[in-house]
Amino acid sequence: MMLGRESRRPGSWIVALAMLMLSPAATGGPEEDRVAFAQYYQSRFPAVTFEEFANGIYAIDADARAQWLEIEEFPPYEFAIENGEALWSKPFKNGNSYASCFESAVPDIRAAYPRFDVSKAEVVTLEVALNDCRVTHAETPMAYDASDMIDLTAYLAHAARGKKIDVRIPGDQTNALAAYEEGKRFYYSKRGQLNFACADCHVTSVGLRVRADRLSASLGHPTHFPVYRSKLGAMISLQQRFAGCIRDVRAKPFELQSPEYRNLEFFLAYMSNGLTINGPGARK
Amino acid sequence: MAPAHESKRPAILCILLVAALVFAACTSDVERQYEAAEQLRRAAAEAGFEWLETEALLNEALQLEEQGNSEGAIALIEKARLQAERALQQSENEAKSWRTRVVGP
Repeated sequence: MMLGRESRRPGSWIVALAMLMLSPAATGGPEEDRVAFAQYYQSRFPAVTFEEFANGIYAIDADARAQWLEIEEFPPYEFAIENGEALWSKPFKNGNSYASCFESAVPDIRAAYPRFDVSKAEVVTLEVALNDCRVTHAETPMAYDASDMIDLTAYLAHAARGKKIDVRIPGDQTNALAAYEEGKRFYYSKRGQLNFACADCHVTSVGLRVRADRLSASLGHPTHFPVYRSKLGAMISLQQRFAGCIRDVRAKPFELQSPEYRNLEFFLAYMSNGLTINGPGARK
Repeated sequence: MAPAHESKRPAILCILLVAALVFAACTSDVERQYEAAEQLRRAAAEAGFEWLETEALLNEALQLEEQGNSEGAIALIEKARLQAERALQQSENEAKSWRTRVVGP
């Protein structure tokens, strides 16, 4: 196993910072970006395996990991999975169900999102696909922070455990590449009164403390959502976490499932390609 | 001889000028400054860089104005204006400098 103390060795810092400083321009394609992204974290935390980054902060914080392992003995997200399964199985008023909207079997659905929808020329996340399904079957779309929406995604994430994140950007789809680039630009742009980029905390300062907490790696961020947050006593989606971070740097959050957040999710999910889906998760 | 509609033009211009003067006289400092700050806030929002509190500051300023506290309202509007200006500056800076942070080739 990994851990924070080892990651603070001066050698790993120097190598990682050199990598950062030697990359002055965003000239690479998505795959070059992804490889460099993974290498950066692996050089910062040499004792942490690539696969271990799917566990988020628990890959690099031994104390938090010990607490998490105890929490996992009675997972607080189980009710969400159960409710999500019930919602998934409940027919719409027209007799159809969510299953009728997805080509894949339940365990394969989560891994298919986010994806770039060529006909809509936009990124479609799992939440958007679920609401599109509702609209197709004359149901009212759900709010993206509704507990039923999050519970549905918890059920699908749980069913997909063990599958790999596999976001694709077809070479002939300039719109898909543009969406990826927008997400990347968002991730690296400073915003808000505190003038922070996502990367400032989760790349440059990864593993350092913010008061009592350590900053997690972005490699692996999308694998474990939705998560049960102990401090809220509720499940939240990845995009609700985006909104929380944006608020924390004192910028005005965007609407959930806005193009900005969808593109950001697309970029981050691509960066985590090859990691195992292990949601839903539990976080402080 | 000038056509009748042309002879009426100076009169129409006078009416418009008077209306503008009346509007300007009726528009308080607070309203003018609010509008200027609100425009900047909207521009920052359009750029995707609006700060957290700017809109709330402007709303609070309107409430103070309604309560007759113009001085307090102007102070909040000024704060909001500065925030919006800096958010726009941030958006301009980031248009290029985000690339310097990218991990990659």
